[in-house]
Amino acid sequence: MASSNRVVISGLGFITSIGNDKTAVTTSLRELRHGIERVDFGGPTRPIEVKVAGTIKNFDTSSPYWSKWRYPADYKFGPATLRSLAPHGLYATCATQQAIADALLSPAEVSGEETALFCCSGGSHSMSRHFLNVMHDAPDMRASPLGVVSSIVGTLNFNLGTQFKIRGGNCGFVSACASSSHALGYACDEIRLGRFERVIVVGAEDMDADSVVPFMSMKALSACDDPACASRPFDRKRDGFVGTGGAAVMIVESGASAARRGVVPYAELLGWAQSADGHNLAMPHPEGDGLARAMRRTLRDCGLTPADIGYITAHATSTPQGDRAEAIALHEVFTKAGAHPAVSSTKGLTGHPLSMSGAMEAAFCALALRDGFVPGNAHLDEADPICDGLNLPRTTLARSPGIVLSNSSGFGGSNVVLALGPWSS
Amino acid sequence: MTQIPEKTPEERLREKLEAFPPEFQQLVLAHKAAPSPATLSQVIMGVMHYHGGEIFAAKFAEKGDGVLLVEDLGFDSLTLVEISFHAEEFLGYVIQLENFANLKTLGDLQGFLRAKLFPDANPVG
Repeated sequence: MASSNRVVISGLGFITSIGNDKTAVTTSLRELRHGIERVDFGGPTRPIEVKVAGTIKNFDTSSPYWSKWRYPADYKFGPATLRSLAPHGLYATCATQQAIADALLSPAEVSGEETALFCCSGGSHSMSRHFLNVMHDAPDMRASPLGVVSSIVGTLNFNLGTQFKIRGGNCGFVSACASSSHALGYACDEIRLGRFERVIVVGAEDMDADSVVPFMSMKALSACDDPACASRPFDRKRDGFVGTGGAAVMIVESGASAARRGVVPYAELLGWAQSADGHNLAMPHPEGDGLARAMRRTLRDCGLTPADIGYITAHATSTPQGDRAEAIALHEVFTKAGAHPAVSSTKGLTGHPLSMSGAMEAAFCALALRDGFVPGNAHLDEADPICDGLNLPRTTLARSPGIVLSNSSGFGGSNVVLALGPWSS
Repeated sequence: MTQIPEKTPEERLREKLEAFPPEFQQLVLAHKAAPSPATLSQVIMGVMHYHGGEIFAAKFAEKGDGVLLVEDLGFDSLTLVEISFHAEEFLGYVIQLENFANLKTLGDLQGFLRAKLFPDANPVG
């Protein structure tokens, strides 16, 4: 393939439970420091069973009013920026600034016709709730004129597209927890096809009672109250995921474009593929059929075999059914082929950030590829017997991950698998 | 079906003021209790600070009442709608959006509301 159409990762930005910049995130991944804390979503009168979450440190966005928010002093925002943001819009704005600076992009390049913006979030339930409560409470049903653009799915596109003066393209992806992996995949295709030089891919979610607690009624959340082990993907005692939010931003661009600015990419985005289970609203196919198919298709897209893969960052969210299905899919594609790549889920550290998980985990892989380490499985004490034969490191490995697969699965049976490799010019 | 008790106008006003700093909240309550051209002017300045932030402070220092709402402060139609809501909630006067066509500067806005709310008062300056 012509080098101009090789796709690279040239910039990263993070606001996550394990760190609010790439340095802090790298340290957390290397040292397996989790970002999960006790929370009190139900308040003193409602002792609900969900007692932990992956919290976003140094931000206070608990008020529905932007004028009451607190965030790190490094960021300077005026009312024109803040007035139409949801909490995850604030996280995304900060992370996008980081990624643009990291990739050494000028404002002219960001707003040039060759730069597109792909965003993913579930919208802001807390902002919607506030806006609609005010509206229904008012005698004339009037509420803030900014209520819609600060809350609905698409709020990231409206706000970031305006703030950063995006002119190449601006669209969103909605496939639940596979959303931002879909965004990365289609960004890869757009650059391969020469339609854009670069795409800013953003995944972000609120982290509050409105974004997390609804999953409790689905029996999807862990009832464990110990932050040190509530999120334990692949463990025999796992009992659900731990909610989190934040923002992860990746600058995906052609290798030639990055080279013109003298930027050394973190990694190459080698290819991707998707599949659908056609099985259930919220449960994965019990045998991991769709995910296995997506992994095989990704290997085919990249001209790889199972033996070529050195590390897989699993989607595994710590739910009994989801982790089991993924383990079966991994056996189907790798163990049966005699391949034993290292497999870990970083959600043991972060919790599960829903639509942003694909971008966050691919960005973690980019850090691991640049710095030469493989994150271990935090909180994995006794592996589920279904995992027998899988290579699940308990500690971080001080070696290059080699070629990496990043798995994502979402409600409705959407599966996306990305392949990343070390950059070599 | 449970009937939710309707909020009083005072309760609604306090909710609308939650987004603002405490000193501004006190100012609005004082203006509501005893409206005057002086408190009207201060409330308008508070609303401008809320929407314009540091840009408003800098432009006001440079141009005073001549600061332009759209060109200098970047106010768009949604901001003008919010300002119109604030005028109604805090001052008791509804600014129609078409009025903004003739309200180019802070001074225009101050003069317009002063003329509507205190028609007998002497013009400022």
